[in-house]
Amino acid sequence: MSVIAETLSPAHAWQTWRPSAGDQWDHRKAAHLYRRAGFGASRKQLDEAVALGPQQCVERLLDACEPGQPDTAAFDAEMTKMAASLAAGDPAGLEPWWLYRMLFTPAPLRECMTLFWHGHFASSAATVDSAAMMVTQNQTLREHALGKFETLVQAVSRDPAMLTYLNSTTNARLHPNENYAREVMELFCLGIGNYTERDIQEAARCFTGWEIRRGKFSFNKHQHDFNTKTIFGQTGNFDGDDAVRIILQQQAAPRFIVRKLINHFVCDQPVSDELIEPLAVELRDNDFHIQPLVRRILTSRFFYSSESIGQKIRSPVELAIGLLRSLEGTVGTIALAQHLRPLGQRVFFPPNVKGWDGGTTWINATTLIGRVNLVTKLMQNQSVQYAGSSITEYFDRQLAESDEHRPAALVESLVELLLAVPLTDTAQRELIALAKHNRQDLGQAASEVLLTLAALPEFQLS
Amino acid sequence: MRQLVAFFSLSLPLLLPTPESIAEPTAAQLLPSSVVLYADTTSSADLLSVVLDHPLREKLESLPQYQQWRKGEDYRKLSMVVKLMEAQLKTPWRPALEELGAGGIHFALDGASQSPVVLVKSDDEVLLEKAKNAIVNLALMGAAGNRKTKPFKSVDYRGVEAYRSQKAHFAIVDKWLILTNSDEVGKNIIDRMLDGSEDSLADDKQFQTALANRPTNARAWAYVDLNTIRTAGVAERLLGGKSQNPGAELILGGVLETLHQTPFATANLTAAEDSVALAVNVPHDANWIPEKREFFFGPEHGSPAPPPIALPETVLEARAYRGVSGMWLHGPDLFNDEVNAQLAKANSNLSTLFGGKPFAEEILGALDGELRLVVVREEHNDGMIADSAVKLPGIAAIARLKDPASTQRSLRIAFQTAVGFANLIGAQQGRPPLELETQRSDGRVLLSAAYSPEDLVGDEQMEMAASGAGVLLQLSPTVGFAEDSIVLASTRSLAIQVLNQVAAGPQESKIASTISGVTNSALQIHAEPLRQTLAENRERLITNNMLEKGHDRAAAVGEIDGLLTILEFFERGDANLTVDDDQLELSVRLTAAKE
Amino acid sequence: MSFTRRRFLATGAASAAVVSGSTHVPGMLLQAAAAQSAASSTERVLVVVQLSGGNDGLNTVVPYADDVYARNRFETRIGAGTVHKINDYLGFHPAMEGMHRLFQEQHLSIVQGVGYPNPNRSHFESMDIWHTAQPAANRISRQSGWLGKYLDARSEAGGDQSGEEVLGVHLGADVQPLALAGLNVQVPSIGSFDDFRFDELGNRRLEAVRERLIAATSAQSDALVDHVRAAAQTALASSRRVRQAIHRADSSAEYPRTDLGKKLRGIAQLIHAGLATRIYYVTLDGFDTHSLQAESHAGLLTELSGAVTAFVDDLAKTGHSKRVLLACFSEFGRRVKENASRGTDHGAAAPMFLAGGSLRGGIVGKHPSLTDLDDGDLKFHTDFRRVYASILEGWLGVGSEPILGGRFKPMDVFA
Repeated sequence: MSVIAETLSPAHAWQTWRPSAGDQWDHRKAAHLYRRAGFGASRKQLDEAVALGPQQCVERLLDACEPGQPDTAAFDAEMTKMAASLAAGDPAGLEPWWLYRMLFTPAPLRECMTLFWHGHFASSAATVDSAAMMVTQNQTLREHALGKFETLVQAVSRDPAMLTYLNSTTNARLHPNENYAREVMELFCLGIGNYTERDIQEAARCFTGWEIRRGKFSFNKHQHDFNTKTIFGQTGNFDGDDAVRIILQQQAAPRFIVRKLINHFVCDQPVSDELIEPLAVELRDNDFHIQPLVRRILTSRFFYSSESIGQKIRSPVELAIGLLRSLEGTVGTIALAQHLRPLGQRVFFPPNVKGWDGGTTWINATTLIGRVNLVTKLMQNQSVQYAGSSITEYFDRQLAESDEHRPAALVESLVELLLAVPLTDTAQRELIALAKHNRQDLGQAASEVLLTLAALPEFQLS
Repeated sequence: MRQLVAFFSLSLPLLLPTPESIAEPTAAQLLPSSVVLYADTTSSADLLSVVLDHPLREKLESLPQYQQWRKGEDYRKLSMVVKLMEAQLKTPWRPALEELGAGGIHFALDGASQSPVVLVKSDDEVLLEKAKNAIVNLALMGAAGNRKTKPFKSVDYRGVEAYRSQKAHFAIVDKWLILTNSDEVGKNIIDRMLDGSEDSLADDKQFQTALANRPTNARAWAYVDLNTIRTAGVAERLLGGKSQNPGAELILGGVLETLHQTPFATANLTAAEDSVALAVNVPHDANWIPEKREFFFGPEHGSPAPPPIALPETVLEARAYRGVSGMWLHGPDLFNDEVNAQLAKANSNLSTLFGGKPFAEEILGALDGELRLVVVREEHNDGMIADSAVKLPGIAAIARLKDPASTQRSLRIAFQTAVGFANLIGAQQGRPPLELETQRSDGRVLLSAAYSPEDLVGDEQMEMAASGAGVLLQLSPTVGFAEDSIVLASTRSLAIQVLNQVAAGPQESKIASTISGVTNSALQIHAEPLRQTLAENRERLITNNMLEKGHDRAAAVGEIDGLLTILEFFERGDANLTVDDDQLELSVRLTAAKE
Repeated sequence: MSFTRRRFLATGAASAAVVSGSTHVPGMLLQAAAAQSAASSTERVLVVVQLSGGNDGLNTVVPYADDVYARNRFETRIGAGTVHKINDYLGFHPAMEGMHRLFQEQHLSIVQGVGYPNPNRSHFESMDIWHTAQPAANRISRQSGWLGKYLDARSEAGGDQSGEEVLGVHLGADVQPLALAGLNVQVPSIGSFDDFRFDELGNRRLEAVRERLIAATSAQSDALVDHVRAAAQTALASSRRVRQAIHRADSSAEYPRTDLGKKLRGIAQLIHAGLATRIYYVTLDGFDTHSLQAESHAGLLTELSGAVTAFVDDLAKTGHSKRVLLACFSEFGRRVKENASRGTDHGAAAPMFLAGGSLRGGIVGKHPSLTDLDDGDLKFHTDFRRVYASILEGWLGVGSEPILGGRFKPMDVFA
């Protein structure tokens, strides 16, 4: 237990994790990395990952996000084509499109980050009511997902969906609209308590004349306030970009972003200021470049410690996409989007400007039942294919390639693939008994174990 | 697609036939009079040839989907069974099937025992015996594979060797193969064979009436005793009570009423070189139709559907006589409370849309029952429009006004009010307004609303496309009047075409009905314009297929292009509802494309 | 354990991380759930029925004897001969026979002239105002609703509840009303009761294993796992209760086969089954009657009156009516003068209904004047937040000021 304590001292937490005899890089650790940074990995991908080592693995996940990467570029082109044909329709038609993208993307970390930013810069199609605008926002978030935060905020400040969502499509000189200025400080960059009402009023003047006309950003110089403004003690004839720059110069800004990213990648529990500080300094020194920060987090001792592994609750989307990616599943995402609706996370439809609260709020009696039933549907619906076959046949093939056929080993390998935390003794006994019952037909045994596994509380953790 | 191929393969045995010998009993004479459903195929073996030697078959087999299916597990299993059968019979499967079913295949459902019966009459007793042994052997082999106990036992009934398993019984007597799941029905049939027929289905008066009207060219024929079924209380939901579905009531209300009264129904399948047709006939009496459903057949009971408009590039044309207002106003008699509450809500909302005119009474009430709906493929020449991801076909609804002089104006105002509402909503979403334009000439009035692309300021057009509203540029909603006709169309050009065609007078219509009577409703679908419309929206269909089924692009392209290819094989599909003094006929015809 | 870790993470103290063994006694959970179920059967329940679209109050509780009413309503007038008379001035709409009876039995109160200052005539704005009880706020700052705040306050105050018990339920497939949005507590929307159960697996043996594993407790303890485990056990127990409730109720009370009837029937079943849920929320849409109001409004009031009456009668029979309060509101009433389309346009003040077995009954407040109007609309005399305050303080037993953001005097409506 004292090991944990040392891992988590600010001095040690962010050091690169090196596997050791007592703390190895194995399938469980690799599965942890992929669950958090890539919606899960199949048995085959885990084998490769174990051979590759933790840092190489992170590099591989990051490399795939480069737009020039051939697989990614080809996939992106296809997705753009699909989006174009959906942009004229109902925004609800985009949910299946993004789920499809998450399910099949060769760059899962980028989708993971895009989903993160979607929750951070939340706008709901329920209000925006335009598929075209929502697609544009989604592409913007993806484009800058691992780039510079300042660029991202500037792009969002001009984003038609965002400004429509915040009722800020007009912003007149004489009546500055404070909505966007408030959100950019409270929810996007600084957090509550790190600015004054005066800062909001002054920043709102910087954004005057920034308008959305017929779905496009435009600058109306007649409505822009060209007088001097004073934000956070700086005075000048600032525009919106200046406002963003000045906001990000505040001490609170890097801390706010780092805290949120740690919360996204590492653990649901709040983390101390001391743990935040080293990364906040680094982020500012890196000119708010997100990619190095993500690399640092994903290779850290903290990330691979027991304070991280199993210390998050999977979001509904992570649960579904993760399970499917782990088992090489393909599914019609129109139906999947329908099944996900009651679980509390509709992509493109976040509940309010704060996005999803996440953590323990994902779970209540109703959503838990919904989660278990979702997995049951994915396992039992004939139209869901696992590497082109039924779940039972999929396991038949997997097991044929393995030389280990004991029921206990079967249970262990499924747990390794799908669970972030070890099973309780009771559960272990029950599942092995279940596998033994179908000793003759291990494919069947595996799918039965899986159905039961999905009902375990442990399955909800990441 | 796979289902279609499978359907053709599976339907082969059912289509086997040949003429009957005179002295021998017919299947109807062997079946008890308690049979409620009877179906047979008794025409010659050329039906097999129609399907198997049809040029379509070659085309279907050349499809990648078919080739895929041939590589699959289902095909492997099927061909294994076929090979085993051939080995047992020592004859290729096709002549074997032709011989085995030479005397026809007959299916019946016995109402008393609720058991299905299959009677197959062969020409060749030796082959029949071989076939029986082959089936027995196959079953034994299957059972051995599953390590189960013996699948059936053989029993002797009055000297006939019969086989009995948990699910089925079968026996061979002379040239007949009898298959049923009821001990009692099986014995009953064997008794008739040995002792002669008495109180058989063939003795039933109602069956005799039905059989007398059997078309000579029918490849297959079926009979259902609705009286008995109704008495048994089955299918009550279909045949009685208040409807929950106004749409179904509008399309089928009168038919349902007839089914509620009529004693029996027959169906026949006919085939020609280039078409297949299925017709369902029921005895019908105008007096059966109560006032609440007068909207369906019209006040004189013989109101016909209007003639077709028959525009070029028609994808679909539906025509019918329906007094929609009459149906709506008889809502309390036709529908349950829940539906009526919804109708009242809809009436209130639609009346708001139509500037406060009571919708059901005045708007719908202004129309007589002659309704037409056409969907037409349209060219969109505008570059902007062509870039849009979705290309809408044109849609027009055509009706006749009872009293054009008094209603035209108020309908025009209603249209203007509706456009006003659309503009209010559009303005909230930042769209430019639809502009109204009125044109009067030669007693015609056209009132259309359009975004008039040429007038859109600056980048408005681009912006509309960018904000996903580009598809709306394809629309120019129009209402048009000429004499007593009213047309409501999605585009102005379509409205003009329709009015021209209406003025040109009735078009010739090919009616697929086998009875001469009044065409109450007709539906035509033209495969080529449909194919082209779908092809123009191919990208959207591919996207939808990928999302719907989780396919990758290649698989989605394969499915969509396969569908487009299949459409090439057909020329058109027709459905007609025809009514005369004593019967009602629903017929469906599928016509293949010309070579 | 969880406390230790949280504090440790928060302080970053590297030393002396004392990690205790399991202090968790898992078997307690189910017993607690059972005990809670018993206890909850005495807890008070609030059922909110929202009439969306703006209900025409004048044609619901009709001032039939008022000449001004007759003069303003030519096409949409409800005649004196058809109303269910309350007194020589007022009567219920002819479709509200059931609610009239409830009124006579003192199981229904009419709160007259409810509204708020500077009435907003937009559906969305006015509905948001009713949901958040913040007439002055703008859309962005309206983050949580009055019932959401109540549930937040309750979950903060009460250590008695495991956080996983469903305290509020929105019943319906429509978008969840803002009224239920809390900052901490999330209220589930249940489209249908069929969704509130674990799917069958087509295999009894598997289902048995699944149930055993969900119910199983663990010696290993972890804050997050415990949280999920508690929710799972609640889910198992309460979905069983729901199933039993639905099953048991099949033979009991008659409800109209309308959407609202089905929903209220379901709620009665859950109340009877002893679920800890305290807030139920349902909506009935379609009250925006700009044209041909008579038929559609009659249909809607038939649905409302039939369902509410069946609900109150059912609860009286099962002995729960004293602990259930039903409150019915709409975002605004309609103009006094009808329009030219035989309908009515957006208005302001309107009556609210309260129904249940613990009410004083009768009419609360006077019918607003039909001549002293505010831009053609009835003037409110009772701020809706006073009704909310009555419900929060007099029924749910919490202070109303923090939730309503001000002092609103509760009304004397409960027996």
